[in-house]
Amino acid sequence: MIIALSTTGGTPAEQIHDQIRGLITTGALAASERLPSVRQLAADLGVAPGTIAKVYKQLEEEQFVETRVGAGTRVSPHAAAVSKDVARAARKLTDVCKRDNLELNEVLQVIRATW
Amino acid sequence: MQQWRIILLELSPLLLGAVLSVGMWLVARKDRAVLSGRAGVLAASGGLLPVLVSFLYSVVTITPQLLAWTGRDWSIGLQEARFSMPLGAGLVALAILSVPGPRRRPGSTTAGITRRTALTFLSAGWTVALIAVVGVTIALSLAAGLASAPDETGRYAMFNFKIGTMSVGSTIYGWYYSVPAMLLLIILITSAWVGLALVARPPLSEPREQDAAVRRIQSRNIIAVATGALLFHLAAILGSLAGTSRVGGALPTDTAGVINVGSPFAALGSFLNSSSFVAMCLGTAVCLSVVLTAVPWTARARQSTIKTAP
Repeated sequence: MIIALSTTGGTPAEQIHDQIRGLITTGALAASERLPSVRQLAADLGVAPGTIAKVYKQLEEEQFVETRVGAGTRVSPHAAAVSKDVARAARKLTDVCKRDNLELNEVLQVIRATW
Repeated sequence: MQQWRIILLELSPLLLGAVLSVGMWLVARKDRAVLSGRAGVLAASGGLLPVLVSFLYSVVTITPQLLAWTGRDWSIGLQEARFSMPLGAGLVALAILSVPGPRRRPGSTTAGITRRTALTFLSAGWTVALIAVVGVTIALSLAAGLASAPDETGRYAMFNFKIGTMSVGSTIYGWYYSVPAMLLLIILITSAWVGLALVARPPLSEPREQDAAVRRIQSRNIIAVATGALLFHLAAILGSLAGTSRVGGALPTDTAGVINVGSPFAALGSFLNSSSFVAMCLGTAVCLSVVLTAVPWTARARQSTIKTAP
């Protein structure tokens, strides 16, 4: 799960906000999953910590994330599409399938067959 | 000739540990990534240092004439440093392994959305191993400390027990030795934690998978060196306690003649001795496994080693 900034996609804060929200709503980020610290994400993306703090605050106001003292910022259980277990299992399956050089449609066939 | 035999016997846990380490490397080498360049040099130096210090200490202890040219008597100094030296060597090794690698190029505009903490790139097995060794070390230090009594200079380094009306005493790993060693242990664990955080903190470079693989090896190396140094320290404690367990006395009686009495934990002597041997053997194996993370195993691996040097 990677966030990428472009020069044409709006301000850095808008791009980060949209991408984190997208990861939550599509289930890439699971319920109660912890987000990186403000400092880590700011350093990784080369933006000011204030930008990330502003994004997290906005996501909190929109009830996508919850921030608690000492527990950091986590995905809100009400906003996430999938539970932590499902997200973890999906990531593991993706890793194994990539290692075995499977295409996405082949993986989906396997999931349909085992459903 | 006799002295060479003693040296070989004294060095046998180190030699056996080296054989064990190379054996495990040969078995698992195909599944492992390799560090090269500056990262490889740092891993090799950091892993070798505790083993080298232990090797030199063993040689100098058996052959004190090697230090005769200095004109000083090193026997007491060497005895005093027996417990803290492995931890000191571990601290220097950790400092070497924690040297930060080259930073990611500025202007990068991608970031992972996963938290990176000191434990991110570390496997749970190594954490459990370190906690277990720390637990055993602290338990033995406390037990020996509680059993210690002050000697004539007030240092808690004596173990006394009664045989009838007589009192028999010997030196023990008491508070005099264990308190400074436990302080060093705390510094060692803190340094390992700082080292792990320094490895995890910088942003991941591209290709991210390759950078994550390097950090997994570096984190493993840091925790392995800390565990190895602690195992050397534990081996010194166990060896010392084995020596203390051998103390005994003879009590003359009117009816039964002379009765030989051993220490209250004399029965544990052999167990303590062999545990000391095993701890030193494992310490060597673990530290040398760090050195081997810098050794490519095939020509193909040599070409695809993980390079962190610019």
